[in-house]
Amino acid sequence: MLRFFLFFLAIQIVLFVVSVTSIAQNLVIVPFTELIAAISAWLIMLFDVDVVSEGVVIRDYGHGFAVAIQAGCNGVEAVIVLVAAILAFPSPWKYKLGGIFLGSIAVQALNLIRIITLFYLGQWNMKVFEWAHLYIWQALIMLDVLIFFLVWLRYLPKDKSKFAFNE
Amino acid sequence: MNNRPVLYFFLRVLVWLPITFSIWYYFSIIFTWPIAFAVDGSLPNLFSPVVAEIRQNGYQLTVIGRVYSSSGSVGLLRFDVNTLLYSNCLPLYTALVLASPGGEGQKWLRWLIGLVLLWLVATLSVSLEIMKHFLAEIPGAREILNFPSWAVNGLILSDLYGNLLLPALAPLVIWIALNLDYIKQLAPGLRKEDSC
Repeated sequence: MLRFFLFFLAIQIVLFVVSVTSIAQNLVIVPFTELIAAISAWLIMLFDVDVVSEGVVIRDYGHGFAVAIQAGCNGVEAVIVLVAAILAFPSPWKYKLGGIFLGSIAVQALNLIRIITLFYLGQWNMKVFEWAHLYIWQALIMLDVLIFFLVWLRYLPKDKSKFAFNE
Repeated sequence: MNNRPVLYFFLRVLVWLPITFSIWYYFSIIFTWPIAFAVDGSLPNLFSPVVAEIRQNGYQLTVIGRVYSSSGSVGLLRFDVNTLLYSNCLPLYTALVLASPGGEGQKWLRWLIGLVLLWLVATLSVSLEIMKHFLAEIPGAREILNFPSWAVNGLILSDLYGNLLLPALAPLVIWIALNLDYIKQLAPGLRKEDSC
């Protein structure tokens, strides 16, 4: 178990440090955040035609309201935690890669819901927006990470020699 | 016996979350007090040339600092830090503990251990935020405290980690560490006897 935790902490710190370097920000994080903003705007436009995305900003031309997706709101940190947990846990690579792929989708799908709900909460009531943004959604995203990790553990093959929690 | 233990666990956490968030926010002044106590007891002593005093103001900490002009005169500056940003891991952790099986005493023990650890995490994150404010944003503070530039860069990076990841990550790590037996129930493949 100690080995799992040490690997987990080391991997997520390395991934986090890499993610905040200017190279990673320019090549991966900012384009990815713009993609998240574009997908969010596209989903909102299915029922609200006044909405567009401009870079990392989602804007409603009808009301003049806009939100910018910043670090911490693009789901990257939650994906880093999940990837670190899956990589640190002794398991076959096939399961690791499948878990990382499906887990990233699960986190980003919930993150899209978070962005869309915050976009409308902000137009309705800024206090509720702040509360949901700073406190509630952060907990829900991390709960999503934990639940996906538990489900992933549940689908691992039964082989005691490979698993960290039996040590 | 249910055959979807993870789903039922998830639903139990979702039921507890609004309750734990409400209690945490209602009693936020009480939950903030140990953070204020620890930060005020440490930073003004460790960095006395720039950090004068830290006061609890509801769930905010009001930091009073010293700034020095080039002529040598000293002024005071004041800014607030929202401690809820760093202690919002507590409601999630509490919901996880309440949703997990175990006797009342066992749950209280796990919750208290988690509470202490999460307070330490919040204190560290708040301290990093305050020191980043001084060292990276207030001219002259770095020279007065004699911080090399690499140490300031390290502090800014640590503050980012303490802002974006640490408070969110801590409740999951603590809950997993204290609930290994339950995790083995949720994921039967992890149990030794199943593979014999």
